[in-house]
Amino acid sequence: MRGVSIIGVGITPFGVREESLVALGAIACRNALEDAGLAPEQIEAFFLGNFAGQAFVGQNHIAPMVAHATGLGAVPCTRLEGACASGGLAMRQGVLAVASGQVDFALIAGVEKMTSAETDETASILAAAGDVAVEASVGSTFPALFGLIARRHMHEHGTTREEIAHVAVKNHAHGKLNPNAHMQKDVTLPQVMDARPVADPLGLFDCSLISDGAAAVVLCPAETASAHHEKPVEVLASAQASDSPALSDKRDITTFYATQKAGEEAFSQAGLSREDVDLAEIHDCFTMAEIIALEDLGFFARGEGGRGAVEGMTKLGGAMPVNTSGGLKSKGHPVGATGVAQIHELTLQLRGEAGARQVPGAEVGLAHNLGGSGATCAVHILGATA
Amino acid sequence: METFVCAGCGRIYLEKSERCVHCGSDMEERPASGRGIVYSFSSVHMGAQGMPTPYLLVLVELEEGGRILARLADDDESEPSIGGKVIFSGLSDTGPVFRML
Repeated sequence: MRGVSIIGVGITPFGVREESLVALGAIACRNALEDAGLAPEQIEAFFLGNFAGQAFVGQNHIAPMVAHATGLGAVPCTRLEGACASGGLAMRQGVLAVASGQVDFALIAGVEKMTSAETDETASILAAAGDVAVEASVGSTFPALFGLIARRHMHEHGTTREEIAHVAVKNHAHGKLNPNAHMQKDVTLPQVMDARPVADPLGLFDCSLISDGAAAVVLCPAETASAHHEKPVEVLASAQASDSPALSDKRDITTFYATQKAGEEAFSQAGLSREDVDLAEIHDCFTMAEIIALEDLGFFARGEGGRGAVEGMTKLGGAMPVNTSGGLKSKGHPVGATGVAQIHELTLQLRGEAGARQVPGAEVGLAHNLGGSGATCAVHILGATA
Repeated sequence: METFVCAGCGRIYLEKSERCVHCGSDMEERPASGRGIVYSFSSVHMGAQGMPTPYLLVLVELEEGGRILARLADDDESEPSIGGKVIFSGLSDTGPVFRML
């Protein structure tokens, strides 16, 4: 397998968007191609992450539609669905296609259009990312599943409501610096703590945003990357793992086995240790999810993840800033786009182009993309060009 | 309380089916006391489509082993707690229902 590098990234602003699902995808793709200095006809394979086009806007089979709108021609187009990790899976398939030598130029995108549905309809569509037969049918939504998880984590590990709430405060402070974020404003600790309950102990500000948006990435072999971009970013690891979605099937609901496995595999591929990571984009679909991922990836001991935001290690300026983009919490969470948008953020950071939220001297970044209640996880580690 | 346990993956069902929908293995009938403890719980205020809120979800650990997601009975006003004892009270449109003991 040969090395793979990122030579172009593109994104649409996240939020309530007028454009169609397909148009959003095509805008991000064209932005990424322009960044890479490639013409659409140079792309040899296209991988698209999308969770629920059919359920949200009545459109399936969108990979060739986005490809057509981007002008890619007859290239193989493949849609990947892994719930909220759909984008991470698309990224991994693109990396494998280039690493294997099958293609030299791959385009990856992720897209979702969610805001045209009513909130309870959206909750039901998202609930189908869990095990419908034993969870959604009983009335569990995703906030409810993470409410159950948060309650158990607090019980077993002494994690406090305040620690959980601090994740929202931190990620909104970061998202305020991201011009593409859905909600570019601060929230205070009392606002988070006293917000309308959604599924206790989680309230409105513990939940990620329902957003429209798309992101895209262009990949090529590492050995030729510098001919296409002055600051190519190398893919040091691309890992994926799975688990059963149902909470009732998990021995311990305060940890996600798929994250542990994908994380271990990624660090092994990259030959790096946790201390080598300068920043991370972590799947904060709920505040609690960021804390658990920090523990599952080995950045904090079990039960200690809540310290990250409270003590400042994961804030901009801290030892390893987490979710400089604002995360799913503030940047927004157009489900299929999220995993690719994480790669977009890390690429900007590793090129030194992240503006007001730049992590000085960032050389290694990690992206963690979780599907549903932990049934799918993709972890990528990226490195700046020396 | 009657339960059906998958011989392959150990998943517990409250309704009989030929094979486990999860892994396809054979099912075994297993009587259960209906008693269990609360492993976790959440009061849902913004719910799924067509489900009136609030309602209480409980992840119950059965005395005989295994966990199931259930509702706490609507008219049960006791405050749930992790480790609190519950008993199966029947099946509703939304699946299993338990009461605090």
